[in-house]
Amino acid sequence: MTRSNATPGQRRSNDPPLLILTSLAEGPKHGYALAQDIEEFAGVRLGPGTLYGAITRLEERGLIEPVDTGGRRRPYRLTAAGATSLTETITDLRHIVETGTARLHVAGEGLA
Amino acid sequence: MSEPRPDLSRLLRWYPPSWRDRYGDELLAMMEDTLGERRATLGFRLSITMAGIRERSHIAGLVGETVPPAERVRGGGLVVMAAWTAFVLAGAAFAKLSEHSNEAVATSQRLLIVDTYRIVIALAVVTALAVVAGGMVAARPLWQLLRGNDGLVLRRRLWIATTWSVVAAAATAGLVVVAHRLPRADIETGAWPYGAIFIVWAIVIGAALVAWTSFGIGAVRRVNFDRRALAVESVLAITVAVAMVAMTIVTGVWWVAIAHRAPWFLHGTAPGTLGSAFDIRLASVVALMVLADATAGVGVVRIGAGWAAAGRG
Repeated sequence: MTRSNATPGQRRSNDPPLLILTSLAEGPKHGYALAQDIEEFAGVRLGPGTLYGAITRLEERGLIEPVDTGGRRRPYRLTAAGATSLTETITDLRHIVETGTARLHVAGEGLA
Repeated sequence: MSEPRPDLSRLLRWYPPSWRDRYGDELLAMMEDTLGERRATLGFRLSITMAGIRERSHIAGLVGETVPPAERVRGGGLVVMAAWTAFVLAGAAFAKLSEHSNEAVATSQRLLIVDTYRIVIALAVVTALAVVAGGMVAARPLWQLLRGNDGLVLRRRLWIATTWSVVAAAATAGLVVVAHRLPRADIETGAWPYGAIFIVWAIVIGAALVAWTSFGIGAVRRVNFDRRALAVESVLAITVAVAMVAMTIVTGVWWVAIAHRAPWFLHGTAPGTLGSAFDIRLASVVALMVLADATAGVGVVRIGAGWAAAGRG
């Protein structure tokens, strides 16, 4: 088997909204906790500016909502629409993964 | 609870006030958590700055698909207006550079040079009328806005623009008086003191134009347009953009004509002297025009996208 030349960052998703929705599927988190969780499961480091830009857009679209705790570190949680959107995106991604895997197998057999 | 770090708090000014009110404290807390006791690096500051500018662009309706269609149309109009300001500055420089160009060539060869110059002037009048018409469409809601409590920022910009206009009028009167007292050769060659006075006058005129554009952009951002008014403003913005492109093309034709028939005019040498068609001042003017056209094009695309989204939704 040949080794991939892609770096880990290239192999992983770098779509901030998807990463945030995925992180919040586990439960409410504030900005810094989100960034840490995303770095842990996806290997992607989101800076505060990028993260809050994505949080703004997701809240505008009604996919996440703040949990009022009164503090400066306000947590966010998925809304029902956010959960539906994440489910749909994962279904789409799964289809792409399955198609890619199947085609790689076919190509592998052709090369063998 | 500890006080927010002042160096990080200052970075928030790149964000629009409404965004800061909603997310500012959270972002500040996250920046503090991310950095701990460390200083913010240049890269970190730059990323926050860029994110802040993106939010400002988003709120102005310039970028983003989550922006309501009307805001996209409004944002596109703002881009065209800003582009037009840059174009006016380029146009004023062209007017100065092309001054007396018809006298540089023989009467029998003036036709193309004079015609192209006249076309540029006619198109400039069309764009100015379109901008005035846009102002008239917005006049009534703008008046209501200026009278209300929300009009404070706009009233300040109007005051600044009016002040600059008075200064510009005084500077123009001064320039005319000086010009009448100096030999014509000094004026045509831009010799001291006329050259220096002209530069000061150009700066004052530019400042007045920028001040009025700032007021105009503030007005377009805040005024509540109904659908019909927004449609009229869109047509006017597209008219201005198209006229700008046409003026750039005609300016290019004028350049080719003068370079072909009177290259000495471009270099200020004696009539009959041959020379290169290239002139750095004219090239700079045309480059600014092209840049303004491209910017206006972005605005027109944004307007089109806004109306397309309105049609779908």
